[in-house]
Amino acid sequence: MSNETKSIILYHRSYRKITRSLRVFLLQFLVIALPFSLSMVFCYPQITHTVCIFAQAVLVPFFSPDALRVIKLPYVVGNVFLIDLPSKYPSIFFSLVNSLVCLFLLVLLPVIRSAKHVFIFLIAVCFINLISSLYFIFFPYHFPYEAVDYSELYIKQQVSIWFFVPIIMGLSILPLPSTLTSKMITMLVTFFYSLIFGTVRYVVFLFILANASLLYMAVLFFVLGPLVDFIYIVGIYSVHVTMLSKKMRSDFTSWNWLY
Amino acid sequence: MELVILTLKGYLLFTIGIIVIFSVRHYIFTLNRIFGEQRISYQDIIDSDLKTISVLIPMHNEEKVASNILELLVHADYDKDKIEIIPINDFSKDKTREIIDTYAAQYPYIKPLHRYTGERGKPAALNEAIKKAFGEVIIVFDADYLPPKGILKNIAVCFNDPEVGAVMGRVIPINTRRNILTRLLDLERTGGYQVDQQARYNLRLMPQYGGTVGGFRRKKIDDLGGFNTKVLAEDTELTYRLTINGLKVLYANRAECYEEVPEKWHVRAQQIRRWSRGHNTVMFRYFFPLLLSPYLSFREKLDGMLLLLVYCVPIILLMGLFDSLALFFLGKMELFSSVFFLIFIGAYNNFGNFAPFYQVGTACLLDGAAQRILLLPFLFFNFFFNMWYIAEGFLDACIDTITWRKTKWQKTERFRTAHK
Repeated sequence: MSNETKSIILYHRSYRKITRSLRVFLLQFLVIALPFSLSMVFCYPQITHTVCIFAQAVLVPFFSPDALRVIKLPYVVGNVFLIDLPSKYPSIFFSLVNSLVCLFLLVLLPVIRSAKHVFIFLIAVCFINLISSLYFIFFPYHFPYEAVDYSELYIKQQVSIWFFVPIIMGLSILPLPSTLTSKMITMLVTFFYSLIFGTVRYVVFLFILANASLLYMAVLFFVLGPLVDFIYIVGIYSVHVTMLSKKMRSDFTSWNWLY
Repeated sequence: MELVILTLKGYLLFTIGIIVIFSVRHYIFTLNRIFGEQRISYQDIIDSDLKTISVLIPMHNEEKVASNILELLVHADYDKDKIEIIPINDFSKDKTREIIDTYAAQYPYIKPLHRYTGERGKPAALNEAIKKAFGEVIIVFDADYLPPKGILKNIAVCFNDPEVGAVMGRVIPINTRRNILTRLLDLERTGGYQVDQQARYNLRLMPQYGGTVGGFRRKKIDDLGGFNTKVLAEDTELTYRLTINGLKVLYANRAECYEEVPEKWHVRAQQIRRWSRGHNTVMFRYFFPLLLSPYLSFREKLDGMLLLLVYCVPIILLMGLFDSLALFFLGKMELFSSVFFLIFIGAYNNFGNFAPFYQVGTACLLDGAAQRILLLPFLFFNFFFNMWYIAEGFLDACIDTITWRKTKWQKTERFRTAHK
């Protein structure tokens, strides 16, 4: 350490807090996050329609001319648009191969000691796929869904995700001492990422269900569904907090002590 | 069939309810740590008449770390007439005994306890050492901890308050940079101490004594009959025994101490399974005594109850996932269109990782950390990992409780010499 006396004695991390007011946070939440979220109630028919037009345009080359249709169904206060597409049921052989592969992995993966966090995730994937495969082996004609049912569920679920994204981001970011502009940018980025990601995933999922088979519906729904949405939500949040933290290292006015 | 479906739907709603309760709880903690008035411990009190202390260090095959902690403790800032250090060699087969004896030969206030008969394990070792100890206050460190110079004073001074039964300090991983696991555990610890424990202390709820980097009043543990050797989570049990009997657990966020976290996933799996097993055994034993305690306020009871349930909830969630699978194949997929997303919000945020992302992010911000916050999305992998091993620990606890099976203490593997 140099001989110079420090001009500022910084607060120790143990009891420092942020110079922000709970009232300001609540106000910002009511004025920004809540209206943002509620605006989805009025926008989702247009958004889902755009998503479907895009999805149809991408998927058309892989299907016969009349196979894909954009349909609309009533949902909450308006209509949601979704793609109606043909279903592909797995053959017994395909289901059998899938179940054997899953069974093999379920025996193999628990033995591996390294990277257990990844393998446990894969075990969950295999387990769900095994159940699905067995279902198609033993009750092939009783599977309760068509591809269009999944299409409907996906779109409705996406609407709820788009509704909740501003609320979640608002609750997690608005209490922080970053500028209002940066908070709004972060919320918008998350929302638009969610729109794009949700659309691309919709296309991919429909392609898989229509071309690979309905056997993968359970895995797509349980493992690669809303759970994955949280990765980018948390990811964008973490980028925001990292940038804020770096800024606060040199901004001593952001900190309070005890009260 | 209708009844089955109704039951499955009911269970799903129950799971959502639990998740919402815990999400709100952690969010209140986060807001309190950001906006609320912070309660300090007693570290600013300068008292020349500190209590006599006995520092207990349970050790089982700790040759990799034993000398580090002893070296630091002999240089601790505490009146040497009022301190004794008792390293407890608990059935060690490596060089732990020799290391302890070398220090004992140099420093008269190091009084080793070598145990090669009787019951093995931390609670039994502590019981035997407490009988031998002279301190009014017992301070415990696990062998892999690296206590800083002033921590003994910081902890001991809190016992001048007669209401305080136990004190818990803050645990910080020292081997954070080793790999992704240690970095994720660092995030978990940061959220758990900087926000969770401190907020619970601020809100006069129930901070938890963690069994290390902390101390307790010796007379009280004598009155309570020592530690229960059948319980793996002797720390959680002590928290509840003290609070149910009218004493407080004080959280001292300033009393920071470094520890070594597991560097391998299978070691972490064993550790978390053991914690879950011990914690859930305590839950079975203390759930109703907690609710009936005349010394606790309603919100202390509520927080204590939720704290007891922390390691029980992952199995509720795991069953919720099976429940969802059943509903899916029964053709009830439409049910998930609105509520399923909420399940995963709560699930991923709370129970897979102990601390939700907003709590960890806030804690890192308060700590002044930056780059490591970027790892928050990787907590995704802990979701299934923790859920699985906590569920295993829960089943262990159920079997322990039903069959009165004798628990066997499992030592956590150390890594220190591997990366000199």
